[in-house]
Amino acid sequence: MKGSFRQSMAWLHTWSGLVVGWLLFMIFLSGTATYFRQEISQWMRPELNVPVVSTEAALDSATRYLNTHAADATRWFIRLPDPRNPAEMFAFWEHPDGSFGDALIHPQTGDTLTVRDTRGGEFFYRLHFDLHYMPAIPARLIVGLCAMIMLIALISGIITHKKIFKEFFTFRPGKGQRSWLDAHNALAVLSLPYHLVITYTGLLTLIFLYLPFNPQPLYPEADRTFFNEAVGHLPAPEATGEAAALADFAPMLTTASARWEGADAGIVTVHHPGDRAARVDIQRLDSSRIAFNPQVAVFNGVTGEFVRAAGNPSAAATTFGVLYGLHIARFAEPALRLLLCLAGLAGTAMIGTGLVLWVVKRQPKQAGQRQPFGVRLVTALNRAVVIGLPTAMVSYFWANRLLPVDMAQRAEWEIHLFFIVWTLGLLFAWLRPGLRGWLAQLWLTAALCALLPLVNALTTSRGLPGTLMQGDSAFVWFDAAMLALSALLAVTARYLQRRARQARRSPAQRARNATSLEPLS
Amino acid sequence: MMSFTMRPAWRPALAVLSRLIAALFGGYGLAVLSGWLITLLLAHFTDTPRADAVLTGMLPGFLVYACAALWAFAARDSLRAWLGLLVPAALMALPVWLLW
Repeated sequence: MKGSFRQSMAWLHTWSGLVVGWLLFMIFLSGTATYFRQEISQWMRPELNVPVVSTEAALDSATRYLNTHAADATRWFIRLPDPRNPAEMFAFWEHPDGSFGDALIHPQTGDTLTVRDTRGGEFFYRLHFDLHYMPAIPARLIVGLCAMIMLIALISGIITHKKIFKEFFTFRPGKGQRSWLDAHNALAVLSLPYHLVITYTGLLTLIFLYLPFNPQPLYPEADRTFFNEAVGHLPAPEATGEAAALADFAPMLTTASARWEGADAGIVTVHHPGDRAARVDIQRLDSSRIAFNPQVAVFNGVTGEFVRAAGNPSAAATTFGVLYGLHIARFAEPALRLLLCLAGLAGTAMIGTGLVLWVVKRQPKQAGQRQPFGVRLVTALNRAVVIGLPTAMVSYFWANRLLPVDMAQRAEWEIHLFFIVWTLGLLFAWLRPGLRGWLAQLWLTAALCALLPLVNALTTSRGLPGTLMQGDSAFVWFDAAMLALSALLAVTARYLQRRARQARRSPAQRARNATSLEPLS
Repeated sequence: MMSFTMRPAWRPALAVLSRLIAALFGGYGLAVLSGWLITLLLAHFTDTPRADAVLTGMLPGFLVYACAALWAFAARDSLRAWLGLLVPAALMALPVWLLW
């Protein structure tokens, strides 16, 4: 590029950031929401209020259900209730003809759970790497490219800054472009290690998709052999056709737990239940350690004897597992989870301020000058993501409470509504540009957040005063988070209103404010 | 005359496009090549199991990709951008080819 190294990096930072900024904003915000995926899922299935049961009891309920409904299956897969979401036990099974069945099983009674059809927190989780309304693989390639460009924008952004330490302590509010730049810098530097780690580890979670050629030199056959060896996956045994009863699971759980410093089981797979060749694979609960490379204890399904450990405990696989584990943060306790969420929000805000900054620098120098089409488009898209996405996310929660419980394709419609509201936000941003549009949508979203606890109290039996008394923590925290978000949005709206009023009053202020508020107009 | 007046308009765009291609595909190529090199070195000169040799080569891949992409835009002109990617590629390709 022309000019110095730093100038070329600044150019790269500006343009690479712009082309993927909107998608990255969505990936960051929905990824941040995913820290509370289990809690969101709980909140979105309010009719599920199941006490915590022991792993043994839950597994017992699951096998009772599967023995009645999937006795002929060649494989049972049981995801035991997560400690953060004790009501949900998910099972799926494979029939001899290759078809699958699945069910949510009540951990206490062993019946199927009848709950409203919803994707819950799973939707945000999937959205942040599978997008929506498109096949998963191309979506993951697009997201991967965005993450790669994010990494490049981060590194070039670091290079661009001469005085990274000093800039961290610099904030010049109310000074237009400078303030946006300071905010962008502070947010970036404040959680820079987080941004770098979350971006790199995000790429690593899909590394087998992104670098499919790497195994070629040692695995010329190009099948699943490499993947199986890398994760220490044990192929399924062959059935003998001879019937034999399954052994009791409780001793297996005890043996497995003893191998993992007392940690609980997370996933139980039963190969060929009812056959002499039955095998039980018990996988350690992933939230019980940082690394995500699975640790599996393998048992003979008929005798109940411990056969061997599976998984890949090598240094390379553990390094990969730790990096992977850092991304999905299943290990995080509530306080750490909250900190990670704040860092994620800082990342989201960094991307948002970066997008706004692009517009600030391209404001017409004289008042009354027309905005070029490109600037107008970017301005509208900025508003559509920065405030439009939060509106859409809250609307998704509203849809969960207001759509009829027995509606056909209910889960799909919750998601359709999310996208409808998001699209309306984009149209609104395009048709009504300006501070007034921003304020309208900020107030609307604040109201949606503030009223959601009320809607919840009116439509479910798990409303705020009651849940606080019963210690129904996920529900209390969800309502508290909505009220806090509402307050944050309201404070932002008030601030912008006050600034706009001041700007009208004094011409001197106007000159300064012109640049700081115009990116919103 | 025509080409003379048009030159300033399309030249910079073409140069950016050339760098973009270098960053996107050259960077990816270097990521894969560096992975192959690490994998093959580990497989031939240590007793690392083959899956771990591949994994070890994969993990730094995105860092290589990012650095290559940065170089593609940092280089003074697009010829240097390409050379800066092709020379290390050739240097890695030789041992990879010998060890494959």
